[in-house]
Amino acid sequence: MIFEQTQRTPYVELTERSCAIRGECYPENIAEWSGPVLDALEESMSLSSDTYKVVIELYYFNSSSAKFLFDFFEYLEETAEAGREIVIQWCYRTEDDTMQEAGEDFQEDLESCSYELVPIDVEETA
Amino acid sequence: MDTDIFSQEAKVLADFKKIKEDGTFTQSDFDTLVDQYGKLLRTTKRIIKLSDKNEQRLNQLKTEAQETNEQLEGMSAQLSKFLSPQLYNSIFSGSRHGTRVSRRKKLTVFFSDLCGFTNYVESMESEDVTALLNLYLETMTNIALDHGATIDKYIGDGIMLFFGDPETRGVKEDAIQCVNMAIEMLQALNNLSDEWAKYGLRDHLQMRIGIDTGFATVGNFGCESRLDYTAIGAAVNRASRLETAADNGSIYISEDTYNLVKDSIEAEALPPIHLKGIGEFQARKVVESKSTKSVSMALGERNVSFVLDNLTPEELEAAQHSLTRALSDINTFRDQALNTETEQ
Repeated sequence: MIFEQTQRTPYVELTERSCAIRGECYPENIAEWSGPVLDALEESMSLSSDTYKVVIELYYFNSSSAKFLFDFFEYLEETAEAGREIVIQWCYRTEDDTMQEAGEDFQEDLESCSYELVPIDVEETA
Repeated sequence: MDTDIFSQEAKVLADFKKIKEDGTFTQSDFDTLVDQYGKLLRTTKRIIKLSDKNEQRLNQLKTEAQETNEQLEGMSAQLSKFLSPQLYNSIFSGSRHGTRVSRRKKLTVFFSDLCGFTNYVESMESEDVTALLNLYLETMTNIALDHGATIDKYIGDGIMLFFGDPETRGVKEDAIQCVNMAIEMLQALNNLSDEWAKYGLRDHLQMRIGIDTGFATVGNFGCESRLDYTAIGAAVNRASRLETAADNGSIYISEDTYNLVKDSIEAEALPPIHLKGIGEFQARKVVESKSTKSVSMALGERNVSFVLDNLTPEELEAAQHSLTRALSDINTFRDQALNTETEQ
C-alpha cells in the first residue's frame, strides 16, 4: 500500500516485508493521517512472518508527528518482543543534527528490534 | 487502531480512575501505573526536546530569512534605479511578469533632446559632461515622475517617456499631464542656466520637445533572457519626428494631442511641416499653460519663459523693475545699432 507524499506528509510504502517512510511530516491533523498508516502497518505485517524491514528517512517532523513515531516504534517493539524479526534503519542527512539526535532518542526505547542509524549524503537525496 | 494519538494514555487514565473508584488497587496495577507513567515521562521529555530543537531551527531560519530579505531589498532598491517607478511597482507587486507580453494602448509619447549638446561635449572634459548630464537628467526625471510619466529610456541627452501605461489617469488627463510636464521642464532648464556657467558653457542649453497621442503597442520586447519594456508604433515615431522638427526651446505637439489639451493649454497652429518618413504633418507649438501664469520672450534664437504663480508680491515688483531696466537697455542698444547702421 502506498500513501503518496504531500507538502505536509511523507511518502509511505508498506508491503508484507517492508515499510518505507520518506519526506517531511507535519500534517494539519496528525490523527487523520497517522490512523490509516498505523492500520495499514498492522495489516501488512500480519500477512507474513518473514523479517520486516523498516526504512525511515525524515527531514522534518513536528511534535504531533513525534508522538505518532513513538506509537509506531512501540508497535514495532511489541511485535518484535512477540517473536517477529524487525530491522529498522533510521536515515538522516549527514549535516542534519536534529534528525540524527531524534534517531538516537528513538533507539533508546528499542531493545527487541534491530536498529541502525544510517547517515546519507545530501547528493543522494537530491 | 484508534485515530486519537493519545488514545493509549487516555485509556490508562480511565482504567485507573475506575480502579480507584472500585477500591481494588493491587501491586500489579501499581506496577502498570509506574510503567505507563515512566513511558509518558520519556515521551514528554523527548517531545519537549524535539520541540525546543524545532524552535531553535525555526529561529535560525527566521534569522536567515531576514538576512536574505535584507539582501533582496538592497538589490531591489539598486534595481529600481534602472526602472521606471510604475514599472518597478507593477513587477514587484506581482501584477506584471517578466515575459514577452504586449498590448495596444493609447499613449501620449514624449521625446526631448538637448540642442547642440553633442557639440558642447566635444570641447568639455568627460567628468564635466557626466556631471552636467546627470544634473540635467535628474532635474528632468524628477519633474517627469512628479507628473506620473513612465520613463522609457535615456538616449544620451535625449529622453523618451510616455503616459498611459502601466498606470493611466485617462487619455485626456495623461495628455494634459504630459504637456504641463514639458512646459515645466523648459522652465526648469532656464533655472539651471547658472549651473551651465560652472561647466564652462558660454551659451545656455535649450531643449526641443515633441509630443503625440495615439495607439501604440506597449510591453516587453526582446528575447526571454533580455527584455526591454518600451512602446512602439506610429505615435512613437511621430513624437520623435516632432521633436526633431521643433524649434530650440519649444514644444511641438500633434493635433491629436492638442484636441485633448486645448482646454488647459494654449498652442499656436503652425504651417504644415514635413516630417521625415511621415510626410506633411499638422502640428502646433505650445505657448503656455492656461492654468499657470507665465511670461515668455524670444531673445534671438532663444525662447525663455518664467512661471509667475510662485512669485511673492515683492519678487514680482523686483521682476518688474528688472524687466523695465532690461527693456530700456534693449531700446538703447537698438537705437545705437540703428544709428550705426544709418551712419554707415
